Amino acid sequence: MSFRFSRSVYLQIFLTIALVVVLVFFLKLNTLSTEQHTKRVDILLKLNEVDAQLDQIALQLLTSSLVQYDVLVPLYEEIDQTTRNITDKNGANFGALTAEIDKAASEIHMQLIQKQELLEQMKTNAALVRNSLLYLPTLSNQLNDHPFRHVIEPHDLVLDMIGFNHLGSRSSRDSLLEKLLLVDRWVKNHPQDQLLKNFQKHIQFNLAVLQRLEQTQQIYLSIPSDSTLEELRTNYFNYYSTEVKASKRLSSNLLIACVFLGLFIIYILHRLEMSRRDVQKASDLLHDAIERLSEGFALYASDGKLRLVNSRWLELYGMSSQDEMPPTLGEFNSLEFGKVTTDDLEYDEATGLHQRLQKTITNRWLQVSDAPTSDGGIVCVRVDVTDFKKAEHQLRLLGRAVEQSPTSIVITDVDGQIEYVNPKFEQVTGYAETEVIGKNPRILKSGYTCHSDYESLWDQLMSGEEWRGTFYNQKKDGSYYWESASISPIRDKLGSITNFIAVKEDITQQKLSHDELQAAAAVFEATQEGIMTTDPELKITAVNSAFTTITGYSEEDVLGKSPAILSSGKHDRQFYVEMWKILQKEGRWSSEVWNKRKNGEIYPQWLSISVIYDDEENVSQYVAVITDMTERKKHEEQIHNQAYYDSLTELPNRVLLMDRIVHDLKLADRNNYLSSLLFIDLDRFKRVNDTMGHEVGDKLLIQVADRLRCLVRSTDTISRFGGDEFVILLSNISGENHAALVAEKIIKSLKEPFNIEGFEIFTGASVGISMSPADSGEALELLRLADMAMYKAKESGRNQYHFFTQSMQEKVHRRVYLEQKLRIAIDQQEIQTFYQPIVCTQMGKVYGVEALARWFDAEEGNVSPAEFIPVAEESGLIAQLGEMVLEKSCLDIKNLEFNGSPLHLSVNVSSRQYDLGFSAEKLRAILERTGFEATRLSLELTESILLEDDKNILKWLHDFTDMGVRLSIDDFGTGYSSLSYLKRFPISILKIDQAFIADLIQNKESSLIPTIVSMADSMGMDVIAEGVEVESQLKALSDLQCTYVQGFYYSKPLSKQELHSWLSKALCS
Amino acid sequence: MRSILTLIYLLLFSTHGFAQEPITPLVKITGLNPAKIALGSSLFRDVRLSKDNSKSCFSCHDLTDNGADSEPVSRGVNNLLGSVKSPTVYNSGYNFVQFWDGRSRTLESQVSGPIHNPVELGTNWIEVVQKLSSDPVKEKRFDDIYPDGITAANIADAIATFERSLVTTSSRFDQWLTGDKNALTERELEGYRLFKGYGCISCHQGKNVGGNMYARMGNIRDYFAEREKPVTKADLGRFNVTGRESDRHLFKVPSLRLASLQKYFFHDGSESSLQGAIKVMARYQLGREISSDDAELIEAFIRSLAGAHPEMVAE
Repeated sequence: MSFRFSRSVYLQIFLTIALVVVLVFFLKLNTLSTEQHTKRVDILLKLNEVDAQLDQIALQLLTSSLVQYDVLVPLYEEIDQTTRNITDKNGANFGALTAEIDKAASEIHMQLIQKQELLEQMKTNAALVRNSLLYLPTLSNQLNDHPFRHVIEPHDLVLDMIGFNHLGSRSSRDSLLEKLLLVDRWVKNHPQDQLLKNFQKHIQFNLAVLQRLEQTQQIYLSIPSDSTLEELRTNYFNYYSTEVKASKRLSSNLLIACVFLGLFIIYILHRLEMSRRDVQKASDLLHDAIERLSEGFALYASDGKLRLVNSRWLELYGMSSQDEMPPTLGEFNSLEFGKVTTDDLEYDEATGLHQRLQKTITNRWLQVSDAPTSDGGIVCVRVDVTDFKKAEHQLRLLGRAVEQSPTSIVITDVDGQIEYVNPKFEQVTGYAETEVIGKNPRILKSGYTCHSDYESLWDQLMSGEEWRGTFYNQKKDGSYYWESASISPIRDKLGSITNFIAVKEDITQQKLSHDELQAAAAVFEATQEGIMTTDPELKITAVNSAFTTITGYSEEDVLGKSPAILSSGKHDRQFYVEMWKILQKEGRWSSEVWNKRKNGEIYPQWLSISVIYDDEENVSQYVAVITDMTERKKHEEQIHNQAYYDSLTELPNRVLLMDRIVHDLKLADRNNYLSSLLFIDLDRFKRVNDTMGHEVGDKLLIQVADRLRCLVRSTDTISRFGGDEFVILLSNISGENHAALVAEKIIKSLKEPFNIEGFEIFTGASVGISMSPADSGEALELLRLADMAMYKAKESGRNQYHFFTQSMQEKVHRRVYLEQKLRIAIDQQEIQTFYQPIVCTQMGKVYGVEALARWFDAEEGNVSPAEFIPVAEESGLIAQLGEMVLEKSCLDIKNLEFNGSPLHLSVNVSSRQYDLGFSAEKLRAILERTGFEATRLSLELTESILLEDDKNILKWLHDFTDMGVRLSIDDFGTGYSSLSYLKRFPISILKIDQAFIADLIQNKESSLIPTIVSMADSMGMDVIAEGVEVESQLKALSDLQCTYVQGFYYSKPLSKQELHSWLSKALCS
Repeated sequence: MRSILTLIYLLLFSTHGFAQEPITPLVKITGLNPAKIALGSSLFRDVRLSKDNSKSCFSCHDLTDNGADSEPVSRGVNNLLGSVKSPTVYNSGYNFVQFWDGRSRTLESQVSGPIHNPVELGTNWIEVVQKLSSDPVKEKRFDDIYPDGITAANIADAIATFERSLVTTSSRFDQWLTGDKNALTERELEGYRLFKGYGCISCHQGKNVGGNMYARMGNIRDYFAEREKPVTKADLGRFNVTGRESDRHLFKVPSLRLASLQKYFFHDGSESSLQGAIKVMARYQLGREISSDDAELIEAFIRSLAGAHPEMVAE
């Protein structure tokens, strides 16, 4: 082991070294790149090029063939750049390659700088030469008339200058110097001759500069840039070829290193493969060994991961493949369904391990032994001990059976000597085991059993057969008893008899009770009560004939079945749970129960159940006694229905409704839901009753009830509240919308005609709705509010529904209050009568007045008619009030006239007065009492009365017109602006509501007044416009041929006295 | 005899003249990064480049004028007087070297000069970089262009790039050069002829009409001896750079492109009129006197050299 370990360390070290060597070779090799070489060669070429360019420009300068020097600017930049490339010590190109290269590089750099400087000097000097040459001809021209011309011709001198300058000819130079000597001499002799002096100076200057230029040129040419460049190149290429050689050497070294490395890796791989095979072989061996184990085997590593498991293990845990096996021990242990482990740990002394037993899902018992391995893992072994376990169980069971057997057991040898008796034997006979062992069972003999019987017993036994029979035996205490016995031989494996076993039972008690049972059976069959017995598992074991009579099920139908076949389904689970609870506690239970007969009929019965326990207090059977209660029940129901249901419609009555509401409100409170009460009042029911008789009325109510039943859910309650009132309780609804929807459906449904005895009867309904808990949580209050809402609905016209609102409540309070006040006011004559003039615009005279009731209360002040008239109508006080106003106004107006014409009087009559008994007779009596002429009177009615399409109303109206009284429609246009129905009534005046007049000026185009006026005209009716306040309205009305006008424009309602003075004023104006 | 002389002259000096003028048109330098130009433009005007935040490049190189100062000699920080007349930055991209004495080869290296000169901006790169770095906006602009942000080299690069963009194009003379023969008047053309005939062209040639060589101030007559003003260190010219006797009083030949817009002339700003300058040049550089008529004609020619640049009318 240690040898192997150290060897692998050596291998690692060797491998690392090899890698480092390869890397070093590689890196060294990398320093030489072709790209860089190319770049360097480029630079060298560039140096050559710029040097050549410099030389070329120098040449051009010297030959004056360069007219401008811009070309030098980029060239200098290029030189700067290129020299930077070779001199920069840190640069990538020529940075510190070899000392020779560096030296040559800095040399060429210096030389190029020097060349540039020389070039600059050339430029400066060339300019001077050029310019002096340019000036010389001018100067020589100035010498045209100069005496010096006689010495030499200046032009010749200039020509020599040019020749020397440009052609550099030696002859020109000699000639020039010769001539210049003459000039010098002249100037020396003529120091005042400025002209020639100047000429001389310029020539000398030119020559001096020329000389400088020549010197510069010489220096320039002496710069060995070519050879320096050559040196640089040579140095570099030397360097390069050395590098190439070195790199070649490196490459071969690298190759060798790689080959070594490769070989080495192959060797390692080979060794690895060998090891792997060894391991595989060992592993296969191990697997094979484990597979061959008859025990389940699993190995877990220290991290709890499953390493090995054999198929026996999988089989034991009911797994079909290893995939089902959890990958870790933790998961396996948490795998509940697979096994049940016994809690107790058993310490096995033989192995020194803690062992447990485990029961698997396949019902196998496993001995569990888990042992830790040296590397911290766990090795688990499972041994299947199911068969041991079974055998052990069986043995234990057998032993216990014999020991605890309720029958006596006696085992003898072949000679009849007792070898074993069980405790029951001891108990029955009174003999202890020790007393009888080795004895013959004959000790029990009573002497009553014949000897021959014993002989046949022995014969049978010896022939190997079983014997059965009864003994009449004697106990130890001398008492006798009956026992039935079965004696059989016990054989060994070879089939020879080794023992006899006698199984005996004391049947004394059975013999005695046999007679009693026979008597009980007779009772069972004879009784009128149905009797059913079941075993503890509730399988029916017996029924009597009365049971068959009551339920219709015969004994064959029900035996072995569950009593559940009788269940009606009327009782919930809770009911039966309660029943069982009592049965278990008290052993008996009785109650009224609804059950189902065989024919499906559900019937009530009185059921008594008793539990019969055996001697050990275990339930042995249940006995049920059934009494049919159908008849009694019928009586009870009838009584109940009479108390809670309306006998006519069979709907719940007021009492039951209240009960239901109270119950529902409680539930609603607990379960937090909404409920609603719909108070329904039939319209015109009274009239149906009155005109067609109660029988028809009753039938109508029945049909109404039927229709209502169709409109609500079964959980809602419809009740006949009394008379023509129905109340519906909508329980657990989503909101007001639900209630509104139901109300709409009710109204729609009840609007349809009813067919009763061939008549089509129309009624209708007004519905008031209150909501719980929003409006109230109290039953009576909820009902009252719904009632109130219903009245509101009725008020707003027929076939309406209305929700209760808070303002309704306040209004009711106010009405009650006003009603009390009004009653007193009427009694004490506090109601005053005022008069508003009606003017005929065409004739310009006062036509008449309208009488109006006015009420001034000490506390309330002026109470508006709009408020107290409805109160009066509702309370019925309108009858008294109406007649009072009529009589008073007749008296007041009787003697009034305008310009000779007696004034007409208009008095309002409420439609309620019709109900309250106001009639033509009453009017006649008043007219007679007051002496007012009927023809001067018109009664103002509201449109609503005309809606009652009723012959009685028509007659009522005709009675008035027959007297000569005219009828007018008040507030025309506000309600039902159809003129057509007016034709049927004896109406002669229409009073247009003031709303139309107010609207007339603003919406002249859309005004209805022209239509009303023209229609009224065509029907021969007069039109009075009410509420005229301004002149423009008056003007517009006159344009429309509306003759009669009433309103503030003329006068407000006046008291009698005021009217008098107004009339006299009007007369004057 | 004279005719032979003339013929030879024509042959010698005009051979190339027929084919090629010694002055070439100014063209815009292409390939410049616009972001750098914009940044350089703002830096050119940034007073933080001076010690006391009082001066910028623009202070002495007024781009709305001729890119130089309107004073004979510029004043730097603390109102200190400089030693030479400020040259124009216009067309400086075409100069072969920078400064009068050519001590900088490139515009980039030129920037450091005024920055460190105690009588110009009087500061140093460390201070300038610090000041600019505290300005987040500037920092962002630098970061957008240069990976290493604000550095002396980047400041110089931006300013130099901007300066390269300052080329005055479309002068009338350039129009004439590119074929519009009516672009110049007869007088101007005559001036050009004289310019060449006198030999001015020997030094003032190329795109910039100068700026591409050195010349000695006082070639033929001793300018400094006759100037009646003591010789200063600045008067030594390129000698200050090389230390060579032959470089004494050697200066970069200035461009004549915007000479007509100049208020003062020569490195010492000693001349205040263009015609005067032409006469001084003839006397000291050519060793001859020039008539006022000829000087006027040459002046007319010089005026035709000035082109335009948007910066000139930018503010």
